[in-house]
Amino acid sequence: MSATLTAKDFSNGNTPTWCPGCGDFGVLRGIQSALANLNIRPENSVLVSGIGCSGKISHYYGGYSIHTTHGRTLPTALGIKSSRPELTVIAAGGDGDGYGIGVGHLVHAARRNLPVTYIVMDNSVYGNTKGQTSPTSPLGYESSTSPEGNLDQPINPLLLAWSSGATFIGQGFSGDIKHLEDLIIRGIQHDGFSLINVFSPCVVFNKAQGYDFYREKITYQALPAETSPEFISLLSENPFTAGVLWQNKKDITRYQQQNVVDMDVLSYLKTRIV
Amino acid sequence: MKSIALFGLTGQGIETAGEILSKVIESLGYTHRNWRDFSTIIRGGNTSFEIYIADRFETEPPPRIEEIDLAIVWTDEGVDRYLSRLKDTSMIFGPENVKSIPSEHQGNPPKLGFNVWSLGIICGHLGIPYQLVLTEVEMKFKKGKNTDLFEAGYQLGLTVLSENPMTDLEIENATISGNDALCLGAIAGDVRYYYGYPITPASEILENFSKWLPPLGGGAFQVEDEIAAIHAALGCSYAGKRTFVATSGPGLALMTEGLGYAAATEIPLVLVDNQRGGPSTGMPTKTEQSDLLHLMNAGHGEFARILLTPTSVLDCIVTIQEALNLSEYYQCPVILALDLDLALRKISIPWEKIESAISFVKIDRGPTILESPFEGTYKRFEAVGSSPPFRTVPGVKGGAYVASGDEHDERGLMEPDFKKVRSTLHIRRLNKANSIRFNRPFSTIGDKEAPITIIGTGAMGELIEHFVKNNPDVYQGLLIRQLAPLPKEELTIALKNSKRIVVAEYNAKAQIRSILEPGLKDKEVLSLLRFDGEHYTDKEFSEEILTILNGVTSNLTN
Repeated sequence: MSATLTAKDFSNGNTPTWCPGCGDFGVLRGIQSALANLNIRPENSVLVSGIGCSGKISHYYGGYSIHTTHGRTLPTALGIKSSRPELTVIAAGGDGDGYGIGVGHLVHAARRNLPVTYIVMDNSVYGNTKGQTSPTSPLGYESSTSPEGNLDQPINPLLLAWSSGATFIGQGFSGDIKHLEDLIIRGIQHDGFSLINVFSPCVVFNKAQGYDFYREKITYQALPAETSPEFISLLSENPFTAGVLWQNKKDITRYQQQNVVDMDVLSYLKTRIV
Repeated sequence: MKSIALFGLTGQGIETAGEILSKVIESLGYTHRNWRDFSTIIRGGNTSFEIYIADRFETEPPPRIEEIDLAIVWTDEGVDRYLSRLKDTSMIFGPENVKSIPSEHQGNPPKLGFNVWSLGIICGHLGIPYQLVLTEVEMKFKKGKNTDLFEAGYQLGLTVLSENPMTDLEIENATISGNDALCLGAIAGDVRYYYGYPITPASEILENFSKWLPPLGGGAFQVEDEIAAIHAALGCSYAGKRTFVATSGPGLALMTEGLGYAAATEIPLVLVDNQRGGPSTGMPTKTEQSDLLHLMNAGHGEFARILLTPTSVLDCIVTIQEALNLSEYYQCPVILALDLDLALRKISIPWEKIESAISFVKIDRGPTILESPFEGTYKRFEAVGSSPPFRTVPGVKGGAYVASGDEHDERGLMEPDFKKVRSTLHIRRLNKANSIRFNRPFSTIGDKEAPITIIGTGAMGELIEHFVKNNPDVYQGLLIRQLAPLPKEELTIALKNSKRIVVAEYNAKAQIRSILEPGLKDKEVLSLLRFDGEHYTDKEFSEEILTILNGVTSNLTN
C-alpha cells in the first residue's frame, strides 16, 4: 500500500445527509485532509462526536468513531486518550452540544490539558431540532424559543476556555477549508488540549449568519497572541478573528504512554494490603 | 469469640484507636471484623467502634455481634448504648464522672487521650503484648503523655485479663473492605484505568486506584461529575481497555443516560452501585438495599442487563472479575449492587483466602479483537450465529466502525431501515442476556431439606450465614448473587423442600422479594424489612426472623 494517505482514506463511503450547503461538510473535509496530511493511519485515530447535526460527522468518518450522548464528547475522549495515548483523538460537536449541555466538560478538559483536538461546529442555532436559540445566538436573536428576541448574553467560548487554562485556542471557518485544515493540523500537533471553534453556517435555520455574513466579519490573525492582554483585545476587537489565537506549553506526562512495569499482579496486590 | 466496643465523640480519635487495635490483632493472625458507627457530623457527634474477634485459627470473620465482652465509654450515652449489650455488666470502663461505671474501672483520661487510654485497657484485657501496641501508639501519637495514658490503661486492662490471652498465631492476615476487594479483583481482572467522582460510600475505590494504578502503568482520574465518569469509562472500554465505574444513588441517577448508551452501543460496561439510604441525598452514611428495582429498570427504552449482588467481602473480589468477563462476552451493562455496610465493612482474614479469591477467575475477553488485521468485511453489530458479535478496538486494521447511540444497522450507521433493524438487531440486543453463563447465581448454606429458607444478599449475607450455621437442620440460607436475569429454574430446584421463605432485605418495599417472585411460586413468603440505615447484630437478626416466623421455637445458640 502506498504510504501516502488522502482525505478519501478517511471516508467510510457513507453519504452525508446534511442539508446542501451545511457548513459541516467543510469541517469533515478539513479533518480528513488534516489527518491525511499528517500521515496518521485511519485505524489509529478516533473521532468522538456529540448530538445534533454536527454529531453525525462520525458516521461519515473512515477511522474509528464514537457518536456519544448529548454533550459528552470530552469525557468520552478522556477515557480513550488516557488509556490509549498513542491514538489521535479528535472530538467534534456543535455549539449546543459543547457550549450548552456539555459546557462543564470544556472547562475541565481545558484545565486537565487533555491532549485532544476539540472542534466545535458553531452555527449559533439548534439546527437538528429545527431552529431554537443556542448558547452562541446573538442578543435579540428571534427563534421559536425566543420569539421576542434572545435576552441571554451569548457565551464566549474562547475566553471561557482560555480562563480555564486551555493551551491552544484557534478559530476557523468552514467556508475556508484550506485555512481550517491548517488549523486542525496545528491543533493535532499541539501537545495538550486544543479548542478550535469553527463558524459552520446552518443555511436552513440561521439564514442571518450564512457564508457571506462570516466572510464579511472574519479577520485573519497570523500569529497567536503573545500576552494575555493581547489575546483578550484580539477577541474584544473582533470576536470573528480567525487563526491560532493562543498557544502555550504545559505538562501532559500523565497522558503519555507509561512504561508498564512487568510484575506479578498477585505479589503486587499483596504489597498494597499486607 | 471476643467482642469489644469503644464509644466517644467524633474528633476524639476513636477510629484511629480502632485502626491500631485492628492492626495489632491482625499482626497476631486473628480473623476479625470491624464495625464503625458513622456519624454524619464530622465534629462533636457520638461515634463508636466495635471489633469482633474470631477464636484462634477460625478464619471465617464473625458478623456483627450483639453481646459485648468489654466496653469503654466516654459519656453516659455510651453507657446507655452498651450496658445492656454487655455479657457481664461490670465490664464497662470510663471516666469517673460517667454513670454506672464500677469504681475500680474508672479513670481520669483527658478528652484528647481517651482513645489511647482505652486502647491500653483493651490490649491489657486481651493480653496483647505491651510492646507490640506501644510501638504502634508511638508511631501515631507523641510520646510522653500518650505513653503514660497507654500504660495506665494497660495496667487497668490487666486487672480483667482474659482467660485466653492472645498469642502470635503466625498467620499472615490482611484487612480489607468491600471496596478494597472490588479494587483487588478489578486489578487482577486487568483494570488499569479508572474514572470517578467522590461519593460516600464509593470514594475509597477512587482513592485506592489513585495509589494503586500508577505503579502498574495506568491511572485514576477524578473527573468533574458522574456523567463524565461513566462516559470516560465508556471511552476507555470502547478503546479496548478494561475499567468500571462505581458510585452511589445520586451518582447512579446521573449515570443512567450512560447506562442506556452502553446498551445501545454494546460497549462493555461494569457499573458498581454502593447503595445508601435514599431517596435523594438521603442518609449518605447509612446502609440500604433500595436501588435494586431502579437498577433492574434504569434507563429509557428497553435493553438487556445483568445485575449481580456480591454476598461478602471475599465475594466482591470474585464477582467484579466475573462481571468484567460477562460484560465483554455479552456486551451489555453488568451492574454490581453492594450496600454501604458491605462496601465499608473491614474484615481481617488470612492473606491465603484473599489470594485464592483473587485467583479464582481467569481473564476472558470474549469476542474482543485486539490484533490486526481483521479479515473479511467487518460488521460490528452482526451476530455470529447465536454468539455475540466480534468487537474490534481502535488500532485494529480493517476493524474501524462507528459506535452510536442512534439506532443503527449492522455496520453501526445511523438512519437505517428502522423496520428491518428493530426486528433483527434490536431483538438480538434485547434478548442477548436472557440466560447467562454464570455458575453461581446463589450460594446455599445449611440443609437443602430444611423446611425454611432465609434469602438475602449483600450485608445481610453474614447474618444469614451465621444464623443458619447455628441451626442448620431447620433453616437453609440462600445468598442470592444474580438478580437479572432471574435464575428461576435454579431457584425452584433449590427451594424444592422449603415450605416457608423469609426474604431479608434493607428496604421498605421488599424489592428483592418482588424481583425473585417468579421463582417463589406456591411458597409461603415472608419479608424481613429494615430501612433505618442500621445493620443488624446477630441477635437482633435472629430475633426478627423468629418474630416473623411467629412463634417458631428453636434451640438457637447465638
